[in-house]
Amino acid sequence: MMKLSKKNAARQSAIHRAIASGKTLGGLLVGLTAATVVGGCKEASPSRTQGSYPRSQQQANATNEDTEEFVTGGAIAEPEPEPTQVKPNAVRERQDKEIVLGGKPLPPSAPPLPQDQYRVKGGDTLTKIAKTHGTTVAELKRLNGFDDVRANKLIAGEIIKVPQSKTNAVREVQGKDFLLRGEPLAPPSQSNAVNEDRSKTPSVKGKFPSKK
Amino acid sequence: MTLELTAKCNFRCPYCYCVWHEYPALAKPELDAAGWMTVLDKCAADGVDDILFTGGEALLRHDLFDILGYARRVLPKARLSLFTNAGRLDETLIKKFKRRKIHLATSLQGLQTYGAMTGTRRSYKRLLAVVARASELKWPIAVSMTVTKANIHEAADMFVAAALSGASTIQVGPVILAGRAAACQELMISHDEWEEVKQRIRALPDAHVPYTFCDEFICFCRSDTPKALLEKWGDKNHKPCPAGKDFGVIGPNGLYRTCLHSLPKEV
Repeated sequence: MMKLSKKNAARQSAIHRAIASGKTLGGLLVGLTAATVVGGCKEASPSRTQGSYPRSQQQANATNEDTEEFVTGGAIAEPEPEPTQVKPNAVRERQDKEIVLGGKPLPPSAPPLPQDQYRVKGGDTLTKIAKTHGTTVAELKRLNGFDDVRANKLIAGEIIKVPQSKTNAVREVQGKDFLLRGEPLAPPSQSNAVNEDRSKTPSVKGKFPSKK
Repeated sequence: MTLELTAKCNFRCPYCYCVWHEYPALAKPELDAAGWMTVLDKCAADGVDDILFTGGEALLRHDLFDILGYARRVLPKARLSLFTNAGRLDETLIKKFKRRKIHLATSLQGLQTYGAMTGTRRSYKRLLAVVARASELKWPIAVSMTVTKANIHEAADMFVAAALSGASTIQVGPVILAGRAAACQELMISHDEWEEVKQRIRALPDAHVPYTFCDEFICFCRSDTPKALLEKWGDKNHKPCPAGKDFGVIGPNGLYRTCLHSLPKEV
């Protein structure tokens, strides 16, 4: 178990006791507020409670320092219902919904792949991939362990196994990858043939099976 | 930008929204450290200033600190955060994260229901102790809570426990229909129940912790969601997933998605 200071250990014990006894923990918060007020501890300023999210570490620390006064003498203050001194927790609610933000989305990246792998592109089907790689649909299903349902659920960008390239066509599809690795491009004639072939393949977009 | 460093996880939360539970191919093969460093280079080049590292459970990566160290070098001014289930988080790690200025976030899945909600035999006590210790070390942890049918009765208590333990911020939301939750819809609470939870938390005495509610039950980034489910869960929140705006996710295999719950372009 994590070693805690006496204050926090007492606080944790109070939480565990309340849970074990089936009590709600809201009373501990009343105790916290009451202890804070009775002890004359400075309450959090509005700027601390209503700043923009995510707040800075300094603010976080400041708030925690406020709550250090929760336990006095190692004992949890008993709940003292004092409605006039207790602020509803609603004042702490933040209106902005995004917890982690910032930065521009990156474009999809395509790291170079070995020749026995293939990154699925929009409009691809197993039949088409098999044809491009000079193999059969059954072989692709066997290599990737696909059943019939999974074979119809190709996702653009996923990487599937293919037999070692029997034609040079795969190089055309991933030409940029090969360029990055300094390897020669496929001859233009074959590249065009592949592109022409792809253009004839009807897109299956919109026929993606619904999730069950 | 969120980087899902791994799909591996030591918890088995039944409502986990990670999309590879539906489409395992999205998780493999996982990028190695060099791959993530390339991604971080791109982030730096594109001016990303806020990165969340998550998973799966990112702490299961043996090269995590290589990646985080590199991130800090190439993005010296960015806000870097790590979301962890805290199962492996201890004082030593908290200090390491503090030295590198990596902010921490975790999730409190329940109190008495913690074991059931994480699919483990663990207790909430350790998690709260970790949160409390981090607070003592002046590196407090943000806590998120997912409200389910199983833990809704103790949702307010979870909030209080997190607040009393020294959480820096608290985020509360219902189960989102994605990942494992897509096959476990009985854990999803209704809109009315969610409103009740919000009221209960709002009505609590001041917890001295900033908090936020995430109202989304369903991600409209997903075009594969059946219409019936959209109508059932989306009728009161007809708005795009907030994550889809100024946001992006790189999955374990390096694929880009618009949000945590969405898929790459379907074919």
